[in-house]
Amino acid sequence: MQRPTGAQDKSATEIVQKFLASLNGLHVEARIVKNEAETTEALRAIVSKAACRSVVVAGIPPRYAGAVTAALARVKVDFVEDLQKRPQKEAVGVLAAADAGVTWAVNGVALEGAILEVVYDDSAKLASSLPIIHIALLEASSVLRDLAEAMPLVGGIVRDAPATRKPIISFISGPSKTGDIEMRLLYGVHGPHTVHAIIMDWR
Amino acid sequence: MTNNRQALLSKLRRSLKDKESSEKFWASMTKARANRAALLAREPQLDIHAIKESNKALKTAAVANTGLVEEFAENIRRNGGQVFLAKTGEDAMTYVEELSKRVGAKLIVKAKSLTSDEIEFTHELDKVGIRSVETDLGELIIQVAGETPVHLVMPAAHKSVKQIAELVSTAVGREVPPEDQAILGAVRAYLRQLFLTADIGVSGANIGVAETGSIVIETNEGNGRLVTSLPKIHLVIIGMEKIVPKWEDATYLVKGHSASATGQNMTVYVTVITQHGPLAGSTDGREYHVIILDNGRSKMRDDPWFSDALNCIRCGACMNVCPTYGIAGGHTFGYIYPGPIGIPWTAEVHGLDKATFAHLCVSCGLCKEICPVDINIPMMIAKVKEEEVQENGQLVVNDFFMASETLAKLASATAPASNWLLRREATRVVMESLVGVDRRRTLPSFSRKRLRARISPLGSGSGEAGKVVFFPDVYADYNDPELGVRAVKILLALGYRVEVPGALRWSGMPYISYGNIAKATTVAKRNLETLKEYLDQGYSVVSTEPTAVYMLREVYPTLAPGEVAEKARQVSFPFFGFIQGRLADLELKPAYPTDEAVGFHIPCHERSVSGGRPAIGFLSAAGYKVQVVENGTCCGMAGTFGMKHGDLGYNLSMEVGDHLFRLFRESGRKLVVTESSVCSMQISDGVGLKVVHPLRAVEELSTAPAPRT
Repeated sequence: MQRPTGAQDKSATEIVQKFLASLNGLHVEARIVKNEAETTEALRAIVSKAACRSVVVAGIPPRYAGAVTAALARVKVDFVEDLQKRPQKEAVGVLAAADAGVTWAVNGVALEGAILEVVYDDSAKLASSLPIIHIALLEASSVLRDLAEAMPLVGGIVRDAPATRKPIISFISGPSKTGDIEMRLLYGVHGPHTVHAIIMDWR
Repeated sequence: MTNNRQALLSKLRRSLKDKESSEKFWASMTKARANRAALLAREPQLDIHAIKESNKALKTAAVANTGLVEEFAENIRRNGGQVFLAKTGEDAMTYVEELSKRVGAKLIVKAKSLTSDEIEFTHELDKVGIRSVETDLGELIIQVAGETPVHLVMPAAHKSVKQIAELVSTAVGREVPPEDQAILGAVRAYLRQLFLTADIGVSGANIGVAETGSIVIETNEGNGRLVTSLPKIHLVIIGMEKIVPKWEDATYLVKGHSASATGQNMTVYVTVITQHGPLAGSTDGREYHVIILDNGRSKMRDDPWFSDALNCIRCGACMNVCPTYGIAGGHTFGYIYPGPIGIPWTAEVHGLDKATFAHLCVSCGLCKEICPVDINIPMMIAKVKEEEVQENGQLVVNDFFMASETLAKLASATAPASNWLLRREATRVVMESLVGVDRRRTLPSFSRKRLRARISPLGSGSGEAGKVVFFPDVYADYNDPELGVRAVKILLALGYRVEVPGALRWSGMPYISYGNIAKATTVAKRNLETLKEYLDQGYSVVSTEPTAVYMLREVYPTLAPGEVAEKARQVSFPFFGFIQGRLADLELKPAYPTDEAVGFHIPCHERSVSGGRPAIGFLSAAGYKVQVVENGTCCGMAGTFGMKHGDLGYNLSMEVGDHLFRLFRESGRKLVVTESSVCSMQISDGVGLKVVHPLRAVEELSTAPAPRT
């Protein structure tokens, strides 16, 4: 059967550009950064502009940890991986009090403008759910064409995980929103009011 | 009249009187249709027809696969979850109560779940003193108001910002001003505390994936993510029909759902959960429970009439497009499940006595056309109507209109006396009180000389271009046979052989509208029998009446399945669709001035067949500029529905029509063109403009080729 989502073969650059356009159309503030310095600057600028005082960080791979740590030098930072060693209540308290959550996305989905979050502890999911600001980092090379390409990957991740450690997976395509008041589109209900995507295309 | 019918009429009367709510609700539905249309226009590559086809195939197979529930359950257990197969809603609630008692739950937070609404989850827990709070904004509003959802996707679409502020004030215990941001802020702060302290989080699931025992939840507000992570216990309530075999199956269900529900490419959050994982490194006390609900679904699956309802993915698109639901709202046009798809669901899970609102359906067929799983909702509604009528009896007026063919025959045989009688006020008063035909409705006149008599001098035609059975239905045979003559002349001029078989009866639509499937089947079989010999000889079937083609394409294959119906479906065409490639061979002269555009109305039954495009092409070829005037739904006439007296007829019909009448008035058009005989009456009565069939917008062909039979 033809692909109802209509994806055609596109070059990597085109896919990333489509991803960027889709995200911007969905009220996600997205940008492409080319190196470590640009990454640090982009993240620092978001956190500083929003006057964040405390940030929770989840799942950033070692290659990019330096850029993130440098960007957050002036704010209180809690890494979710460390929170997991503290009492549950305390950890949730820190997550709920944070001004922003910085999380890792394993993939981007160009056509639908979604980022794909795969975590194994609900505290990491809360880092992108509880704070008012969500900043997702992902690699430009990870951007997939569309949901039709992403869904089988999701299936694979779930299938391949051991029965005792199944992933918690979320596609996120924008700030939380509602149309429940006279059908007006309003952003920021229970989840983040603003979502940023930093797409890393380090050469 | 039964109590249920009486109650329906009372509710309908209230809905018709409450203009302010009705206007607001209609505007919401209009906006919902516009959101979907905007997405489809913005994303031309989003092939909604391919999505429909794919979803229909996979859902039908999944629903029929009785092994899926066990596979899904087994995989959840393998991943450490607990599964309960609930035969009834009562069983499900007993499980929830026992679970709540065992863990000492004081507070439950709930994400939006229509399946939990179906079993009256919060209400049942209230009775045993367990507090369960809805966390989706719309659901919270109606929970505080003590109502049921007015719409599947927009449960509080009927509430004004002022009413919402008042209800939210009650919920949070302080006054909240009627401003969007103030309401959102208050709700966020109030529910945040509940998320953080709740003992159990309850969610539904849009999809269950059997191969891994996972659920997929599609939400926008973000409450679903909190409900499924913060509380120690995550309880899922999923209808057994939601389970599909594989991950690949989920893609187009997600696409079809979001596009149809809200005009989104995807909802903001699509969350996949397979177990209740650790929170901050600890799994202490964290439990995962999945209730798989039957509650009448097995019975539906095994019933050939209703198994299609199980393909529903709860997008609400059928509600957005339903003309009478748009006026009446989901509290009149619904029980717990509202709208068109709510009719079969209510009849099957809550009982036939709760599904009396089926009679609000006017059989326009738009719900099937918009459905992203191509569910044949109109046929299921016809069946529910039939069952309700068998139980409670038929209305006199419905019986009258189901005899339209016989009555037309009689009126035609006695014309012009019948026309004189029908124009008399006294006759109409009697007809209204005895039969229930509204005296305010202009009725068409009847012609003594019928179509066959008029076309016999023209001969049957050469047949060099092909062979055609012309299907006049009632209007082009008894009321305006000249219309049929014009159509036949064009077909002959284009070189077709044309037959109008004497044994061909009317299409029988009112039998579907008023729930007499037995008679609809009889007429379908009879017509197919008549058509068979022509179909075998390669004839196509062509009609100027959209409903006739709709019946042949959409209804007869279900009523009389088989090779003949299938063949008839494939070769039945609306008149203008049939000749659209030959317009250059016709010398079309406009019968009205062409300096100004004509207004064009697309009949509902033409939408799924051609969308009206061929008729527009015909008018353009005759030199007209055409302006389509529409609001995406029905004009309200709906066959004979708008001729019936009272609220469940003329009044509701005109209320629906009013929205289209306003557009026609604003358009400034002086002439309206439409293919449907009944839409024509409605627009003419409602706007007072001249309304003609496209064939009457051109000069009649002066000559037809000499008969060569």
